[in-house]
Amino acid sequence: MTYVVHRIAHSALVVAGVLVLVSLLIHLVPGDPAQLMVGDAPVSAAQLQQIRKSLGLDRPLPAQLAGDAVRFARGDLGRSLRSGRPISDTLRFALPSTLSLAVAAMAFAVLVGVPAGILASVYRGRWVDTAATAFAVVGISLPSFWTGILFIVLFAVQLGWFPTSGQGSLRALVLPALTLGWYPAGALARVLRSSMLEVMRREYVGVARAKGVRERAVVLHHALRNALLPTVTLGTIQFGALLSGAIVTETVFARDGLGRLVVEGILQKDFPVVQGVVLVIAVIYTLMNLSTDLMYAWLDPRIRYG
Amino acid sequence: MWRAWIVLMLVAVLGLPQLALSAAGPQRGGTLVYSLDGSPDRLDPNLSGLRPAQIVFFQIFDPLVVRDPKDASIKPWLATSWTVSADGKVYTFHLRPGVMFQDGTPFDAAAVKFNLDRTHNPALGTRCGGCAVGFYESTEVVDRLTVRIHLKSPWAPFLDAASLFYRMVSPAGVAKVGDQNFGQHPVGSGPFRFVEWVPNDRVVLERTPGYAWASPLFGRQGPALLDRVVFRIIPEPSTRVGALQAGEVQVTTAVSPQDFQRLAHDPKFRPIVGLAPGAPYSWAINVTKAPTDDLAVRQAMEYGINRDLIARVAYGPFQTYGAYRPAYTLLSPVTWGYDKQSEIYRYDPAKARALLDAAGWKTGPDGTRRKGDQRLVVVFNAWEHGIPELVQAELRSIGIDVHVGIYDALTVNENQRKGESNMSPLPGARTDPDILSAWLHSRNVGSGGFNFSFVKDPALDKLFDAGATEVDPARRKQIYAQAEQYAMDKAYMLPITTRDNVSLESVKVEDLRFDATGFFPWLYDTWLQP
Repeated sequence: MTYVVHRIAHSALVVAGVLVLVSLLIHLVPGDPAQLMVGDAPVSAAQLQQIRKSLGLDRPLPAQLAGDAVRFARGDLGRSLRSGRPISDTLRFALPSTLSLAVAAMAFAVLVGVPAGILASVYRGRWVDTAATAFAVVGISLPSFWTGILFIVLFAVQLGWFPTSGQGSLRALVLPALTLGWYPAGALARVLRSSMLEVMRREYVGVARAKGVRERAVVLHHALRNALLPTVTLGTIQFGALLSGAIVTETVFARDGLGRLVVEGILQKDFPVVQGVVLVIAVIYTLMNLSTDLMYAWLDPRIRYG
Repeated sequence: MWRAWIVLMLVAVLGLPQLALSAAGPQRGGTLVYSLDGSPDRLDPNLSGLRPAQIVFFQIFDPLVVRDPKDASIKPWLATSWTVSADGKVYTFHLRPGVMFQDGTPFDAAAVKFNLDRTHNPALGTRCGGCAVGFYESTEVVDRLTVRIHLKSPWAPFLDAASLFYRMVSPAGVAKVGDQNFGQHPVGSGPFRFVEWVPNDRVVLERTPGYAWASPLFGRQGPALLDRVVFRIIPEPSTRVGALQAGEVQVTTAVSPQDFQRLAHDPKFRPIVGLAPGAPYSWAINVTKAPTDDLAVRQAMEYGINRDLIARVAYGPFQTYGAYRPAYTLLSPVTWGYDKQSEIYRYDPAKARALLDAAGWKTGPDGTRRKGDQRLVVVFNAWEHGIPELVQAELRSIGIDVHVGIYDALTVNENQRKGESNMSPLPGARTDPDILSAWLHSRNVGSGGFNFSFVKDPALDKLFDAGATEVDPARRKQIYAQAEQYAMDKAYMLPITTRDNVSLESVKVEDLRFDATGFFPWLYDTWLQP
């Protein structure tokens, strides 16, 4: 129990640190933030002053920090400079879109990657192993913008099975989920295969076999549970990456999402958007790591805080 | 065999009425799906100048006047007539009676005043690049349907700006949701009204019932023909074209040359091309940074690139339709005020070499010219590949070493502002030649200005000031012709190709036209074949 409390306290500390960094982010960029943000539009000095004021940049640094911390803690992330839309409102659209894509991609990765890893280790050196390895290597090597466009041309334009792009229907989620999920599926399969092979050589597996446990039970109960730890670590890291790093897939399939928000925010020098999204992504990452740690403790009762 | 005949007969019988129907002329109804290459920022013409936003909000908001693409003349829309004072500082508009905003409030002189004041309110931070920033003084409501706009000093492009950028929003609509939120809840007087906006996905509009104030330019009156218009936001070019092929969208913008070549001759699609007036795809040349401070170097670059070849290699498939042609002067040929006499540099590498030789740039052992210990290196930035690499290859053959940098647009601009690059691109699709003053007038050097050539030339300033204030069109045209010849003679900029709107539409789409800028569709007249 102390382990759980400690992990949660630790996560809270990380989030507080991120809050400070995000608040200072605007000062880390060289040049006058107000001028940078206006970029291409004709502006007057009065307008620049107005922008500084609206961002609170006219106050002393500690006051800015305190103000931002209170504001963020209240859940007020400010407004986008370009669209005038409240950031929380923007996130209300982007977050579900990103979550549904990441969950679908992860489901594909687990449902395909885990069986592929197990089968490849059980039938080591046979054609199943070769096929699973080929699937994994191709998924890891191909860039998602290429597979995405390939899927669109094949399954949407030629065969007409799915819409090319957009969101709003479950059918529109299939191609982006396959595109995004292929990489983690391959990675999971590879890691699980090698840790399975390692575990299968252990003595307790031999003992289980010797006392007459059926091979199926040996693989799924004795070996898999112990081989799963590195896969869980990788899986949660992958899931975190899917949440924030789906920018290419989001762009190719014209979906809303956190990745696109933050990249477009950076390109348009829309600081409040970047701050808000970075904060949300950081919180998600922290929660992901927390859940990994807790899952470890559940999978392996020996893991305790120390 | 006889079975095939029966099928054929059936097809003919069933198909005939449809043919008859399609010949029947404009049909009411249907949903047009139009794909955009980027997301609008806000659907608020007073505050936004972003192209995807403009494409959408041009359907929701009407302007006072409109430029006819056929003859470049200004025609009425929400204003029925207008006069300009002799000193060019006062514009009086007589407004059309009976116009209603989509929230039921009437459009009148007070609404015009509200719009102009709001556009020029510094606290709101407008991004309207083509508005009369610095010239606007005030608006005076004369009576309910007469409005007088006062400028601080004469500014001839005002009517042009009124035809494009000053679009009338409903003051009641702004009051209801506030200045910052209005862009997500737009209310105008246009032929289509706002339904919903799903961020980074789509904007949905529907026909405004009771619309009865279309410009005489359209040749018909009454509500729009389409029931609905859906703008889909699809940033990836291949996906946009895929969506067109799959029938999910009927119009797609910014088509790549490769996709265009593949689909332009497909009987299911039709190319639609809008030729853009204004500044072509020109590169500003920093005249204060070595080595482009040397006139001979700038002129050698003008003579040393084969624009015809560059246009054909980079944009070949577009040329059958007259788009992306070689550009030899500061304005594209379809611009009011374009001057053919200023096209003084034809491809002539021998002349380019001679100019450099005469200026003391001698060919070094590595093939690059040098003068003393200075190598002839030019930093050439852009935001897309294609032209930069071709220019690099061509200029290498005359002994200029071109360093290409490809970055996002803001970085490219920032580098040129800081003097880190010699050249950066400045295309500007505008219907008024005054766009040139934004690129080359000395008042636009530094801070947020776009005089990326760093030209401070009193002779040129005088021509631009005269052009901005001259009310007589014939004299005004002459002034810009002089300015183009002067600036090209000094090689202040390197025009390379025109930069036009290349789109594809399904053959089911009828009567889709672009406005005088070549980029903004008029969907009022558009209809769909059943």
